[in-house]
Amino acid sequence: MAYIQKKRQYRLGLYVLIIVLFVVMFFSCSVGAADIDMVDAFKIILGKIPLVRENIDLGTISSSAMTIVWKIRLPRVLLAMLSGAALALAGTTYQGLFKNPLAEPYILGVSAGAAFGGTLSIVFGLSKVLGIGGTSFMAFIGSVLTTFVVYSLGKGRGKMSMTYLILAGVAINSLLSSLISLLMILDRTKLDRIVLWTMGSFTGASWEKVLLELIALTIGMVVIYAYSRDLNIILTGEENAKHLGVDVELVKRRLLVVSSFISAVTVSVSGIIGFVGLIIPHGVRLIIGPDHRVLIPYSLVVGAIFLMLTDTLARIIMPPIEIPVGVITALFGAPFFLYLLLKRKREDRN
Amino acid sequence: MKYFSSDFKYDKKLKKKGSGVMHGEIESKPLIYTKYLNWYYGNNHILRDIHLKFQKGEFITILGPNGSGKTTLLRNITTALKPGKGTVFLKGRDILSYSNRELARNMAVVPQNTHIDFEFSILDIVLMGRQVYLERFEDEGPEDMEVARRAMEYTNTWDLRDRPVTQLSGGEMQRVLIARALAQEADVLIMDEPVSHLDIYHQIEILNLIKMLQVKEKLTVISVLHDLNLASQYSDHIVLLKDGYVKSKGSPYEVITEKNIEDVYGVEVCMIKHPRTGLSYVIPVNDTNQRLKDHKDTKSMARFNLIK
Repeated sequence: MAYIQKKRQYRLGLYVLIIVLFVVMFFSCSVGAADIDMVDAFKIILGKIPLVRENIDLGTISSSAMTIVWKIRLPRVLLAMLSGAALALAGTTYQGLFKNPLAEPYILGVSAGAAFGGTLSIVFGLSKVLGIGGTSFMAFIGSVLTTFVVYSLGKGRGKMSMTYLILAGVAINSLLSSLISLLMILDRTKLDRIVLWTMGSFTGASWEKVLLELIALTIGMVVIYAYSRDLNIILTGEENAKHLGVDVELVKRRLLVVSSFISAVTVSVSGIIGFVGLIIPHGVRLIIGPDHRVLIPYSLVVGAIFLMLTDTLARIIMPPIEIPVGVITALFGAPFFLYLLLKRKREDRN
Repeated sequence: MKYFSSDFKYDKKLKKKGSGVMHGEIESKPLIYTKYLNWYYGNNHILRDIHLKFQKGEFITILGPNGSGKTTLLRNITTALKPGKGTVFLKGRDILSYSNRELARNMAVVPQNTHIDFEFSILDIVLMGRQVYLERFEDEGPEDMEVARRAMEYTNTWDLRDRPVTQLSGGEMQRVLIARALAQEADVLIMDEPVSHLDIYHQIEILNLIKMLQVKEKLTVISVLHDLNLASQYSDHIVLLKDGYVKSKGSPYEVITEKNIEDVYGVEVCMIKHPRTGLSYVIPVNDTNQRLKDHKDTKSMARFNLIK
């Protein structure tokens, strides 16, 4: 069935997913070292919202619970949610533009650049810049610069060659990785911190970071969704797309810039969380098909739910040790993805 | 015939005079006009002074051996390539001045070898032809759906509408792409070897369809074909290319001659009349048995080639 014939169902499904998103959010706020009732968590959060708060009775809730939920857990949960959405969005866009299932947010050197910047700041001990941590700041600068270099290298004669872009990305990635290793060997005392940072974590979540991520995601969402029909057409081949009236070069340029930007922001606030940007768009595409008008919103929400859940698992699975969330995403995501893939393969055979 | 009146040599004469107008002909404006079109690939001169006028409502076929510049010419007309020298005009305007969107409303293109890996439904693929009429954030409406349905009924693909595009056979794919082109509601249809990889049944099916569209919907069709006989059967006009220049142009009867074919393809042919339809057919003169006999005499040579 065509997209327009199933629009109603798609929208309904999306509402259901959004409800799930909120349930997972409240659930994640309530579990952890200090056990807080889910209803209480719900009340605490609503109690901060203007207009609604007058009707919420917070009398029975302890002030420590309020602090834990509002100051520690909620920013962290929200950051995981927004990062998951952003990574899934960027992954969906890259896979569409490159028409390649292996494309992901880090393919053009965003992660290597961020890791390099982050490593530099850890090694040289850079403190706060502009209200955010030095590591995040340097990571952002690093990823933006790297992506810029990769674009310049990958840009052929006026036209953007996707193959050149990928190759340039791979080369820059390995160059920076070896530089990082070099820095780590030269300063072994900081090896731990560097390795942990590159594994990705939401431990350092704050409301500032949430706001930053929210802004980046909102811009990305609007721009990328605006081009969702163009992305569909580009999937059928670039020359086809041109003849169907799509300004392919313009679309590619804009979308690459926007999705690199959201990836860079995400990496700098949360470190390098792999897997989400690669697998979520795939999994969602396997279930609902390739139309970006559905794929983009669904991937966003599913990515958000997935990363919130995995981050919660990372917190509670073996306290007091916190496992880097990047480890959990792959540990639980990969088997599920393989299951989808196998199921699909079986269906194809029938 | 009247718009392809003179033979290709007049180009050179005209160029000396520096005039772009044909012998003071009075005629309606051509729909597409390639004015001294040249195209280079590095130092190779691929298209040489292609000076052609394509009139509205005609079925024009571009013929020529591999590497003669057929596809290059077509791609210059669709703006997939930019002319090295010269200009292509569409409705009197330089074709490069059209935006992609504007151009797609006037000209629909069915490229060679389209392969789609993603599982869009056939209806979704055809609806992509409506892209040029949609604003950002706008979804296809009932009117777009109606256009798509008509295009699909025309091309006999409506029953396939829910199938994923990844499961189509070559002939079905070609019909779907034609349906998508129709959904663009453009008056020019450009096709690059639409039937080359199809069997004879599907070749005829597709060409009959295109012919019907040309006649009934007043479409202008510009197509590259390989098969000389199909070309002469379906086309109103034929442009025969050799080494990047126009060797001959005119009605099939004028262009497809024993002499032209031998000149351009280097193959000895003879023309015969079809016993049932009376149309002319080109048959290569190629005595396989004689060739094999000749080949036996050079047996050792063949062996050497194999080892090499």
